[in-house]
Amino acid sequence: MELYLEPADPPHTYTFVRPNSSVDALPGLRLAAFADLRQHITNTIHRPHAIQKCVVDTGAFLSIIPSRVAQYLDTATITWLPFHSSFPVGLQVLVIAGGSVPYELGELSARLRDKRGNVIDIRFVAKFTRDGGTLNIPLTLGLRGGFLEGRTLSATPDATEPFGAIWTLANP
Amino acid sequence: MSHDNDELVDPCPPVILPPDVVFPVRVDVPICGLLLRDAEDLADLNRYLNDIRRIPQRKKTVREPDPDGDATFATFLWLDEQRKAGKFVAYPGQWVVGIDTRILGIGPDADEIIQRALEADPTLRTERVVVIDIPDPKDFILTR
Repeated sequence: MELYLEPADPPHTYTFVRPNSSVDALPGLRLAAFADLRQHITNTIHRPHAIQKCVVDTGAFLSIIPSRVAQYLDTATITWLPFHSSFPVGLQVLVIAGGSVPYELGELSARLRDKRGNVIDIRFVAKFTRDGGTLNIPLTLGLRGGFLEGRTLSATPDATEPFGAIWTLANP
Repeated sequence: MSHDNDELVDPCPPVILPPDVVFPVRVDVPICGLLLRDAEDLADLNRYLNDIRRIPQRKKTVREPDPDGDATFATFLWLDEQRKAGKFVAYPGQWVVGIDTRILGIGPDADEIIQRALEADPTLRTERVVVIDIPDPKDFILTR
């Protein structure tokens, strides 16, 4: 299935001067995926929020589900994973965007969809941040926990694409 | 059961599906009362079973039809394209509610928009309603 390079929303561009004095610019891009979380939404009022545009971030240790997304999910459908007593307290907060927020670990399922009608069902461990809705980030799909394990994430150069590459996620 | 009965009974009849069947579809292939006369029959059976196993049950994954899911995703993509095109910049921090690639309303309270739409049209299929948020540039966080 396809993933998509997209400008941030709102967009921004890194503009800089090369050693030869030429000005260059790089748009700030994200790698986006679409997740359907319907299976975790039992309150029909919340169903319109089932599809979430996610950021794929292999620099994130685990996936992150901020409160602004988690508020629509039925907590009873999440498999909560309490910290083991050996897990340092200092790592039980997520440091992000100049702040730190506590989180709990949980495991959930999602159906990833692309614009061509392809789907991949994933089950993954995520950090559910307890930020009270203040953490204004999208659902982030991180490196470990079940999103990428056993799958291939690849980028193929393609000059016809808006940002020069086709990104794909594939099951073996 | 008599083993020397010469009457031919097909233990594994061909699978015949109705002409209007929609794939994917699951079938249970019965092999009942199969008579193995000797070791050669057993070898034949296992060879044929091996051929059946070659039908890629797991690799050839097909998903169940999901018209509501497909419709909501189509609406989400449509709204997302509108958002990327800047159609909603006048509504920072608000919600856009849509259904079947049309907009039901824009405002600060998505639930209220849905409720109003339901009052205007009680037949509205709420399972196909989609909500997206319009980012407020002042809330933008550059996290990396």
